[in-house]
Amino acid sequence: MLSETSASPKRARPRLTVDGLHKRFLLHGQGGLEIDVMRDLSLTLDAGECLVLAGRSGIGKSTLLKMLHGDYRIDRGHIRLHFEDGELDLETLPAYAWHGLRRDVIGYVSQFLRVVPRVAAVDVVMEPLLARGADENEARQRAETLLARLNLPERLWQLPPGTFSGGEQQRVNIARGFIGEHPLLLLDEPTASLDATNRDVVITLIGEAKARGAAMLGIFHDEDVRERVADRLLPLDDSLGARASVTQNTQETLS
Amino acid sequence: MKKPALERPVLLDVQDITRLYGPGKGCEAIDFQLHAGEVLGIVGESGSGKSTLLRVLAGMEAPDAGRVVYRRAIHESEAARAGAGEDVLDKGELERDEAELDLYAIGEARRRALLRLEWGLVHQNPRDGLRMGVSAGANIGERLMAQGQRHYGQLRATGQEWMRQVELDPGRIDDAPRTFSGGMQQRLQIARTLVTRPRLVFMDEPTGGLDVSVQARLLDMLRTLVRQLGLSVVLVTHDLAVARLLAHRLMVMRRGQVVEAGLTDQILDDPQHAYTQLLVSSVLTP
Repeated sequence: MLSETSASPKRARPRLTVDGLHKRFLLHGQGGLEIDVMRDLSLTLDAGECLVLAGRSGIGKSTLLKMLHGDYRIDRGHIRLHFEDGELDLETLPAYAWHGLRRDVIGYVSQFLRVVPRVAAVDVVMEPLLARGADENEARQRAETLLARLNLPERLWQLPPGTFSGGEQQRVNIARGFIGEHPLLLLDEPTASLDATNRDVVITLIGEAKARGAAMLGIFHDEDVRERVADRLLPLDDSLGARASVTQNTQETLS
Repeated sequence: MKKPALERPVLLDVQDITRLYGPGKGCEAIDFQLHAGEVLGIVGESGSGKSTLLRVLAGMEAPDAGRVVYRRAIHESEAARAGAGEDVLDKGELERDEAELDLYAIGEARRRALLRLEWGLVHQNPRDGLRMGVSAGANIGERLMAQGQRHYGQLRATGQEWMRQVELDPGRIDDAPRTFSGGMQQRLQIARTLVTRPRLVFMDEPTGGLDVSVQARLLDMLRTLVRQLGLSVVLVTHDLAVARLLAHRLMVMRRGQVVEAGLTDQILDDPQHAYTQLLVSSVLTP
């Protein structure tokens, strides 16, 4: 046992394994058109690492994140979460069990904020904590701290984000995504419409998440950001199967 | 990291419910379970049978076939949650140790007691849920009095507290609902229903007849109340945007039958059935 530890210090069990994932859309309104968006995708993700999906747009990167978050159904293949005391297969998880899983385990930062009318930005951000029964003052404080770190002007905190700029909305969304400190985080272009200063803040947030052991799967089109956050890259190509993952230093082989 | 506890007890067990007024009119062979803490949306166009189903579930209309079973055993552990409120509950008609109630097998009196003590119903039209001639305060207090609360000062204080909670001016506690706007009436109906902290709430198009600006406010309020009170909800709506905001899980109905069910995001973002795809793709986004 001792030798095992010393031989491979990073031999932690993965937090997530994806095995032979398929996704096909059948469009009844288009005469039964079938679109294969994913064929036989597999990956593993460890605690404390950020795996970045790469490949041209339309290749299925967001689709994968949506399947992991339960937004899309899993047609074929396995998505398995590993815990100290057991495993959880997402493809067979009943609908009611997803509510708690999303609240406590799987977090998601999408590209666009789904605006709830009339709800103030700070309330949007603190909601994931309140859903867990957190103290309201404490949740508000943490939300304000995050919004301040993301340089969202304080005068906007009490306003509903519906009228905010794209970059401002995205920062609200990022704060909401990171506040819950989920052990598995799905990041769909969280830096897309941010300026350099705020990109740096997001990179720091990702670093902090890694440090506390969060496993992250992300899409970043900005090469600079990708280089700074990725521990590994997972290129998706037109065969729609992920090739063996490569390290970030060899990313020039990717287009 | 430990495996999260994802199991949730079944609160309502709906077994093969059929209620038909004619071929394809009503609902047929409906089978599902509502778990504690879940908000289940039933969506579909008018005439799909969703309102008929809700009436059967809420104890207002006996089905032709099938059973609606309410599993109340789990409540005992949660009873402490209600705190002081529990003392004043007169549960005489409902045996406390009864774990399961078959809604249409128990008698009318006990069904009424259940609706009064542990369930709540929010009608689309607030006039159906309110007593228009008596004051707002009396409307809120009525369900509490039905549970045995008699202390006038306390009833009034609770009434004012709930008016604040639903953003009505507590100074209007003595005004009759008929002097309120539609949006205010709907909020009053919600206060009247939730004041007894029901475990299970049925809502029939709760934002249906309201102006869009008023709808948004009500939706946010409902979301907050559901979370704060830990409600389990069956919500009927034809509005997919309302369903997206409020419901964890959806059932899509067409011609009396459920054509598709699943997580709200799955139904709206990855619909499988031809009818659901049509429904989702027909929504206008401004």
